[in-house]
Amino acid sequence: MASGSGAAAAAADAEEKESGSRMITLTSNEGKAFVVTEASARQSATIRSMVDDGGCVDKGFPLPNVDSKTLARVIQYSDEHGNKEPHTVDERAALAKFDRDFIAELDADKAFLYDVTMAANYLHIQGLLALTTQCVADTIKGKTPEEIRTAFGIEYDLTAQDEKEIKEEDTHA
Amino acid sequence: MAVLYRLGSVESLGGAARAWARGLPRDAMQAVLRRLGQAEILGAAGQVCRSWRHAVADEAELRGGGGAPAGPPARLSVARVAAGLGAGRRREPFVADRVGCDGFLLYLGKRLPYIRSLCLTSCYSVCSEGFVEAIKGFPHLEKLELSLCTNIFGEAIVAAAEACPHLKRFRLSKDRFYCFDDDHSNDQEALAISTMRELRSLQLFGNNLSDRGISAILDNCPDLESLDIRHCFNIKMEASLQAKCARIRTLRLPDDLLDDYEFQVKSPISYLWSDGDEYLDRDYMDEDMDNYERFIPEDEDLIEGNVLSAESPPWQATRKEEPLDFLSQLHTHHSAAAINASDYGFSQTFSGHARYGVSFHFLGTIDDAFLAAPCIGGESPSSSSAAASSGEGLGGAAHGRVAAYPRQAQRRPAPARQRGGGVPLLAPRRARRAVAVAERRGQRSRSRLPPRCRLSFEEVARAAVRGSQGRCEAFRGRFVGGDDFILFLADSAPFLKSLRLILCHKITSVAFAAAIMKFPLLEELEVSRCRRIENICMPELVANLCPQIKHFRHTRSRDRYRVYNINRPGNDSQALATASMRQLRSLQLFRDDMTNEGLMTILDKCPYLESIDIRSCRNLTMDGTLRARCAMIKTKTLYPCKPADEDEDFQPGSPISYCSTCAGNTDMDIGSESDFDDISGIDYDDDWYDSYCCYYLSDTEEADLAVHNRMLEKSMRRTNILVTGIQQH
Repeated sequence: MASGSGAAAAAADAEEKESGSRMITLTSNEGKAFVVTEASARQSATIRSMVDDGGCVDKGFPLPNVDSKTLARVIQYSDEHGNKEPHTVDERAALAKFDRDFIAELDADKAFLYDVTMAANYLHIQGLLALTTQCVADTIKGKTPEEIRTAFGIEYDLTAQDEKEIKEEDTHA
Repeated sequence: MAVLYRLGSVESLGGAARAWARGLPRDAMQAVLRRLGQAEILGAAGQVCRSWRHAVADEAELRGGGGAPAGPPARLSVARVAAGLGAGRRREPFVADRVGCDGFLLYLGKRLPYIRSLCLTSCYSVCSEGFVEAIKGFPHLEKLELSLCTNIFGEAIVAAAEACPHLKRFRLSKDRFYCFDDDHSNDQEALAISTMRELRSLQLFGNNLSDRGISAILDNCPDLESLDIRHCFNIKMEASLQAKCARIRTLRLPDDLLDDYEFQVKSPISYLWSDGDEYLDRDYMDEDMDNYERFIPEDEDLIEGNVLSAESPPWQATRKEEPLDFLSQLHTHHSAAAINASDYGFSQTFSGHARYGVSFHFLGTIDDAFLAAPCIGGESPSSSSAAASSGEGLGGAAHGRVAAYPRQAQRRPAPARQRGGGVPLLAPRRARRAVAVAERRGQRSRSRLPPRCRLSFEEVARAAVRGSQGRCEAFRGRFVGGDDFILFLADSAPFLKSLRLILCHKITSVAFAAAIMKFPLLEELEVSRCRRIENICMPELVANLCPQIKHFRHTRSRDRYRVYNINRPGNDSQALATASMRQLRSLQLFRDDMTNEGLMTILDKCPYLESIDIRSCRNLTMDGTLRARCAMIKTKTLYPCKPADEDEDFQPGSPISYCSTCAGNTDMDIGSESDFDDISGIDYDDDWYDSYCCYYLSDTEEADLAVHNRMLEKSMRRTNILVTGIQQH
């Protein structure tokens, strides 16, 4: 994602310089405005396509599906990945460390992890989505259904019909 | 802006519980599932809550669906679907083919402890140690198959016997037999198996157990009904053992034919220090045969009297009532039934019973008809059973192995030369009694067989068709018969759905035209390099007479272009005729003279066309228009000028043309066919290929066969009357 954006930037260098200075306003569903650099905003494929279409850059983008807390966290990620282009080994390592810390925080708060995953999915931020889904997958791995429910705080909602099916699968498979 | 509102809103962010239970959007969920191993998807994730359950089912469908490449992911999904997450297939046994590892098996044990049937095929990554642990998770197993799992042996079998007290069917198939030597026989596995008290059916292939092991099994498993110990050459079958085997209903001895064995068999390695073929080819054949003779009981009547006696009432009774059941017994060892369950569902199973105690079973299509008459009525001492088997096709089996033997030979070592490669597959020196080997290359072994008399493929094919009693649905013949035969087929098989004629140079267009009228139900037709049929406008006949035709393949003889080596003038008559086959799903036209217009007509008029293959049609120019028009066809091979790959097997996708039994054998045939066919300029009308395709029978054996034929004919007539009667009603 980051590299894709980098390649595009290299291809259109002049335009990038011009647009790099532009600022874009994102508004959460609570009406709070976040001002980010265009490079950062471009981490989101959804926003990128609209910026490229040339629409409403000035008015800002309302994001009715994302609340302020989540948006702040998402912007934290996209700033880190959008504004800096990792060139050296050290920079890359720093970025990887950022990702690790970022996801470790989310891992501790599963409700927030869900929100960020939803936002990443909604905004099409591939890097972030990969990070969060990997986290979800790691949580699921090696657990029984009951343990998974506990981990994510999911209520047991399987109907008798489902239970019967599961039992049948077990018996006959 | 509308884009932003595309997804449903995340409402109040209160309870994480409700959020996660609602599930992630489909894309995100799939991203998660893709990061999980098969085990987790198989089990836990699908049982968390309803929305996850649906997501997992979707994902399973997605992976298992037709679009998936046939690589490991597809196999994994098959494994998962088999375990029951997919819809509606829960009754099937768990089958793993080249998937899984120790961990997966362990997980499976946790997840599906109630499983009754477990088949592992070619699971090389499962080793004995892992298996020993994992098998403890399946205490309810009734059927266990370990085929070609080279890393599961010894201790693992002991563990399986301990862990699964209810095992009723057990199969342990190895790819090859090692070590003909008493010192190398190993009864550990056999003794373990002997503790499976409820065993009904057992197949040990290529195991090096000895007489001691097999008698332990026979002594300790009172319910054993079916025993297959083919390629277990360390078993000597001494008299006492023969007596013990007498109660086994279905018995396959070490030297029996491999006709219904679905895996590829490697030639046995006789001694550890031998370096392969050279030794096997000469020394083993010539010298060790004397040792080999010891394997075969001299007093065959003992076996015959006990095992083959048709007068034993219970067996007779069972057989008459449950012909299909018997069939399944015959093929019990052939647990392809489990592996290829779906294939089996497709293939037609015929079971014909004739008088005189002769019973014929047709498994699948005639193509791979396993024609077995294991039991012969006692009243006619000279009657014989013909067991003809050939992967290539009864009748057409130029490269196949066709054997017909008298009943005394039923339990006798079959002449076994591996088809194709000329690799000897332990050919016992019983050639003078055993009958037939269609030998491809080695003239040497033919010279060993004293030429006595010939039985043409045509006769075997006729026997097969007769045996089907008018219910034959598929026929494939290579080099088979002439006009008489095709007319006979037309009369005997009114329900034929698939007809494939390859290199049948003796069939003339007139006879073909007369015959095709009698196959109104034909769905699949192949006419490949049948020279005399090319003179007429065959597609037109077919289009008019067979309205159901769905798969059509026509290959012209190679010499057309070879002789002229120029572009012949375009001729669209065949293409136009083909275009009137409206139901066409797949089409292969090789070396046709059609032009672009002809092909366009076909594409326009056959709306269901899914597959097209037009190699070597030199009058075609693949221009932009044509390519665009072909874009909607799913599968296509469009190399008008590239003649290669022609012998690729015809896979029209019709269920009847697929045959699981001979599936593994086609490769050899394809290769060898092209070798063979490359000899250009040979007049096929000569008798040379008859002699090429002959087998040798002793006089007695031929007389036996003649009697047998007569009997079949009688019963056939009877059935014909019946069939006619039904049709008149």
